[in-house]
Amino acid sequence: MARIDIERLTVEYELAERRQRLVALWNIDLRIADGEFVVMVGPSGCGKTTLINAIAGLVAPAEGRILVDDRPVGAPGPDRALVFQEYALLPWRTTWGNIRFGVEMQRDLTVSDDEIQQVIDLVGLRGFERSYPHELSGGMRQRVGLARALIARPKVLLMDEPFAALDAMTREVMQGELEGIIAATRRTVFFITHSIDEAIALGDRIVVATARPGRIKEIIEVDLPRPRREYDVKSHPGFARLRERVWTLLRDEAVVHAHQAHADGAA
Amino acid sequence: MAVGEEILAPPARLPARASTLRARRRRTLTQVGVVIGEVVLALLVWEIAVGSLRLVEPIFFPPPSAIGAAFADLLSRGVFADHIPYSLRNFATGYVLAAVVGITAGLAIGSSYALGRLLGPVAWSLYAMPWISIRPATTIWFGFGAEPIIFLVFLASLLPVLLNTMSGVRTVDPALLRAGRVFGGGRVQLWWKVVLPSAVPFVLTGLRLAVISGFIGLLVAELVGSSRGFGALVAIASSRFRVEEAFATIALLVAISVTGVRAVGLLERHVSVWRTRSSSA
Repeated sequence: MARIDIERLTVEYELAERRQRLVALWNIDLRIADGEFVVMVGPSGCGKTTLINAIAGLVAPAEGRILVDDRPVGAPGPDRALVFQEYALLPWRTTWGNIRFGVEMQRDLTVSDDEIQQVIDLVGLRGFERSYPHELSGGMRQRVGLARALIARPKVLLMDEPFAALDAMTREVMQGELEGIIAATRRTVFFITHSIDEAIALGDRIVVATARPGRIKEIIEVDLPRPRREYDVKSHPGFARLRERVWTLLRDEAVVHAHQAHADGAA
Repeated sequence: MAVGEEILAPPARLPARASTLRARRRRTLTQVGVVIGEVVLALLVWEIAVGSLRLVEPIFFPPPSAIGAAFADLLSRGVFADHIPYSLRNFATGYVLAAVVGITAGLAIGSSYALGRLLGPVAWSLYAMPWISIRPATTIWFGFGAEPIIFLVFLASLLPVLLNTMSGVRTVDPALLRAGRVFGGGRVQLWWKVVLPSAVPFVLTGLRLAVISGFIGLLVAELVGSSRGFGALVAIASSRFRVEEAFATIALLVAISVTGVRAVGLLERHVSVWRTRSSSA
């Protein structure tokens, strides 16, 4: 577990062809507590993936900084692991090999076969150790992605729309299992999604972001009791209330975003 | 409800029905049968048109029976045994050299932006060059031995290997590179564990195509200025109006070339199981 402090973070991209800079994230302040599950929702173009990349250490901030347990983030490190929307599994490696990949990329890390087997059991992949990604369903592939992220025992788990490509039923199953896995392994989680329902079902807090440049509009506490997988969270009266609140915030943004896109198109 | 019926839920996967397997085998046999039928029919039409009806003068365009007879004759007189090992040795030398140089250079050019800029256009220009045109010059460079032949086989097989390897390195999935970087991989680790394995199927495709172009290079090289090999046989036979002998020689070359392609193709399929089926998953 670890604490994440994001202080006055601004991230920019150079647009070479237009001689402009695109401000992807503007003055973000966010503190994520030890063992907290924070979900970020926002319209397309709100810089969600940029923020994940910045925490992972793949992009450098233009201003501000990110601290993980008081240590500034400079480059990727074993204290943080990422689960990708597009799975990003090596197609020539089996489940076992793909999980090992997360270890092999880190020079100083050794992991025993027992530990790999434990992670495989934890994410429910027993019996699929020798399967190749193309032999697995989307849900199973993302289990491999999750196991690969967990194997290095990161303090922070970053999840970039991990269930976006799954069908609705698999998605709900995976959400429930993720809650259980996080409860069992105690990790700080920063999770990105487009789905309001998913944000409420999973998060301790929901960060609602605005589009272009990405800023934090509001942070909402999710006061629904855990474990939420053990009751039908969507029929909880608090769920509807939260859903409406997040949706109201997002709808304004979505409208602004649509107008912006229209103006961009006309320009 | 009968006792135990509820525990008799059908398993998710059952062995395929015998009738389905029979139908599939029948379909495969039919396909093979059609191909054989096609070839037999074509040969028959050819035989009747030239051999029986003499629509064309057989001395210019011999019927299959004459080519078959010439083949048997060349085989029994030991002419093939004299010439073919020489050709195959030249092919193997040039091809292996091309594979080694092509894979190495392809990996280097594909991996480095600077090398790609510098040598990429050179590689494509070499590929565009009709290497047949430098056959006379190779005699000046290497003389009349096996060297010019080996050189032409090398040149003809090099570019398919090199260019395919190069694009294999370049088309590596960026999501996989991002994953490797997130997990702390450096440039060298990413190259060995992500870039190289994802280029392997492309390398094998290049090696397969190089068999064909290599054999074409071989034949062309031996046609001119060589007294031995496939090309020499074709040249000598043609100059004596033994078109059936030339055709018999060409048929043997094509058979060997196609066999080589099949062999590399099997290797390709074996190595890249994950790739051929990933599209359907």
